[in-house]
Amino acid sequence: MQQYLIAIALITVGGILAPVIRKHRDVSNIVGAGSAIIGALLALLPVLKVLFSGADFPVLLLSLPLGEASLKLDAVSAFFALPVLVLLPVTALFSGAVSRQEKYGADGYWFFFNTLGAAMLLLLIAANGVVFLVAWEIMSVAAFFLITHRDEIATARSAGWKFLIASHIGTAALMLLFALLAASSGSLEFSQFAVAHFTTGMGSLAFFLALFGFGVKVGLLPLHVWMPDSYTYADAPVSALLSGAMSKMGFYGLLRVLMLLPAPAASWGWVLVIGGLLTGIFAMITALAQSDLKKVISYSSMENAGIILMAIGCSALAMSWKQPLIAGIAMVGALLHVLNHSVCKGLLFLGSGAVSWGLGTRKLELMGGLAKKMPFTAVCFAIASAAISGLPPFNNFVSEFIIFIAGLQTATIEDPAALLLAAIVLAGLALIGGLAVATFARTFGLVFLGASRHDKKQEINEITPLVRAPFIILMLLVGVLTVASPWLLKPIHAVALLIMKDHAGISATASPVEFLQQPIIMVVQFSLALLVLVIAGWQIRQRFFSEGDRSDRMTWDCGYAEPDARIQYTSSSFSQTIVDLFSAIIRPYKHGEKVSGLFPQHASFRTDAPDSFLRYLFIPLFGLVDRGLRPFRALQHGRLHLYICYVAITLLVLLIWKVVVL
Amino acid sequence: MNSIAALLAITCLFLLGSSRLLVSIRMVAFQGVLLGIMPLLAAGSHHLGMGAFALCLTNIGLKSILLPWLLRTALFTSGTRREIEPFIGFGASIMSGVVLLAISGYIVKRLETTAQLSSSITLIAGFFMVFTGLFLLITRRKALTQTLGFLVLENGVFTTGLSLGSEFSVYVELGILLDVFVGIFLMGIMLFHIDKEFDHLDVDRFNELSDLTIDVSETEEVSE
Repeated sequence: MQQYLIAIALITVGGILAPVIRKHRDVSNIVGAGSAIIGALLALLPVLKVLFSGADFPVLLLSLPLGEASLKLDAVSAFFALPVLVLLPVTALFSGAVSRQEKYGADGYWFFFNTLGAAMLLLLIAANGVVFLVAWEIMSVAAFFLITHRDEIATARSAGWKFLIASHIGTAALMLLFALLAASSGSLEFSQFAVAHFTTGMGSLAFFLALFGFGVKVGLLPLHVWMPDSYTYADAPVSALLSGAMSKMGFYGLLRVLMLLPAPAASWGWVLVIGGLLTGIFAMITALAQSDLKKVISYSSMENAGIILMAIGCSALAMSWKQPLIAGIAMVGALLHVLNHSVCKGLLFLGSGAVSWGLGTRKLELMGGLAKKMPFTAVCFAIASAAISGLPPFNNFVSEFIIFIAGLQTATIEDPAALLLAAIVLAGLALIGGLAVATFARTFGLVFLGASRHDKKQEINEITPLVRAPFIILMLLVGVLTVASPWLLKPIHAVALLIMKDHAGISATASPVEFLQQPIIMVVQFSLALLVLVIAGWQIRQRFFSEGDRSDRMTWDCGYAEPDARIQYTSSSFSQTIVDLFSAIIRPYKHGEKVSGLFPQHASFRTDAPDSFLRYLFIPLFGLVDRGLRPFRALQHGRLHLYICYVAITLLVLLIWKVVVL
Repeated sequence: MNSIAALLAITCLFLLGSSRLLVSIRMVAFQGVLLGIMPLLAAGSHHLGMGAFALCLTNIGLKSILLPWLLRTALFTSGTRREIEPFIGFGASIMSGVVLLAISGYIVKRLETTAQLSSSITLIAGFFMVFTGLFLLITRRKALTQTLGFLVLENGVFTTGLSLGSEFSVYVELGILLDVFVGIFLMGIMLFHIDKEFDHLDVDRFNELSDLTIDVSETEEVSE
């Protein structure tokens, strides 16, 4: 525990020192990135100890001026610390490595970067409502400054504001939640919440407040509007950290509150499942219509959040039906997916950073053929894309497989509601998975395959070896998470047990670990066999059939007389059929003129698909609020005298009121 | 004690009615001297400790020597001599002052039933000074008069604190004094700079710099 706290302090101090010595750019970068990396490694030890050996650290009691607060590192905190401790050093390494050429390291970057990391680590061990909220706010504000780090770009500023507004609305719900819990338990300590007795209505109210407050960070359907923009306009390492680690804090909060509340009601589970399903489907069909590389990846974050929410909902439903086995399986699947997603998403965002950095744009229409110029990035991106779409032989397949098993198991319960749940989970996951494959096939194809659409004279360089290090680390983690997954089940199940301890009478006897281990070992074996086959095939081709290799030529060169980059599928034409299918939801803009006549002179076509919820829900809503509040602007006229007058009048009225009433 | 409180109230009325800034500054300096004497009297003869002396000396040093000197310097560099066209005229100001005095008397009279007081007249003077300070802040145009208003407001807080006196008050008062000193010091510097930038010290025209006139419209998604 001390080590964990020292790590937090180290990261914070590094963040403060780095801007102080910013005159010496290199030193400042080393201090900023180094403290984040060393701090994360330092914190990793106690976290792993808790996870694997079940070590129990004592609860630390802080005496603050206004009462006491306790800090506690239990298995759930330790588990959710993993994404932070993986992505913080990796993204720090990436930002440090490219900071020479880019603005990443400049100004207050390291301060906010390290503050964000430290706040997340503090959040995880907070066992008191106030400490939790304070850490939550520091995290949100640091994230805001990181998103708006490129404040010279108007869209980045606007994305930052969206994030700030959304996250504050969420925090308002959380404050209400903790006030509610504190009011009914008489304390702000989590340990007191857990033993307090809530009525069913109160529990439901608390749960829905938590879902709203944490749903903002996670990207639950109507609350996601900040997400694509913020991830897109932030720097690549920042988006990786936000999507891979910060949004996971939302899940942590949700599960923590589930732990504190009484056994979940069926309605909570249904809301989670349906919400997750809609989130996943909406995210993927919107992703298909995007023409910005990072926006596609951002929507994919939302999709994975949907899958995780579905799994948590499935688990909650099973808990309310007293089905400990299914609840355990679904929860293990959700937790494993959290870990898998954060690793893959980190890889994808860093890859998108390398691409847009090499090319100078994020527009999918201007990319293509990059595999020849950036082979390393292409391999990373391909692996991450396949993994995130849930294709075997990668880690996300394993976790989605577990969630599938949970869905199949629910079908064995003889209850129409359970059958409905099974149908939703299975069909929903399949649909989301299919759309994800389409999305990432499109993204990878447009960016790396085909002929290049960008300016021929532009020189594109592969990333330098130092910058490759974070990619290699993350790829290794993808491998570890895949191969070691059967043996990771045990510690993860311990975490799941802790979450569901008080509910549904779950004990180790109904453990899903043995139940799952066998099929997953099989999955891993098949995955490895597949991998070996692919590598063998590639090697055979390299060794024996490389004479006819014409990969130096332009793509399509053998099929057409004068091939041109413009004959390829574009970002909008590739996904046109699916987008048209869902156009009622996506409502893409289409600009351009039709081709007509025998010898058409010129024609152009452009599609654009800003977020439907932003366009049809939030902009009108906030417009309405704005109009409603406009009369009050007259009160803020900028005249100092009248402001003081307000103060004086308030003072007088209060005084006289007090005097007269008493 | 009571006579000092009465003198304080009279200086306040004088401040409300005077248009010459230099005289106003002198009046505030005089208030400072009066305030300096007060803790000595309030402490009584039985425990006239170091604290009361420290409070007395710092009060007189700050409020009747240092701050008036600072304000005078600001006054001479800025070249304004008189408060012209306040929002409420000088005669009316004095009348409102009398009304405020009555209100504070009423409030203190009602308060007596709930709180333990050492001297009710001092408390009335304290309240009255707070109100006068606020009144000056609201109705005067020149930034310098506003600073004076702030100072009077603080003097009022000081007097109120003394009349409700307790053992702690010395340290609290010293802390407040430090605050005021820093505040006025900053205001003096600001006045100097504002005068250079705006060519005037009229507070009601400061909002030329306000950004409220620019309509903050929601920025739509525009690609870079």
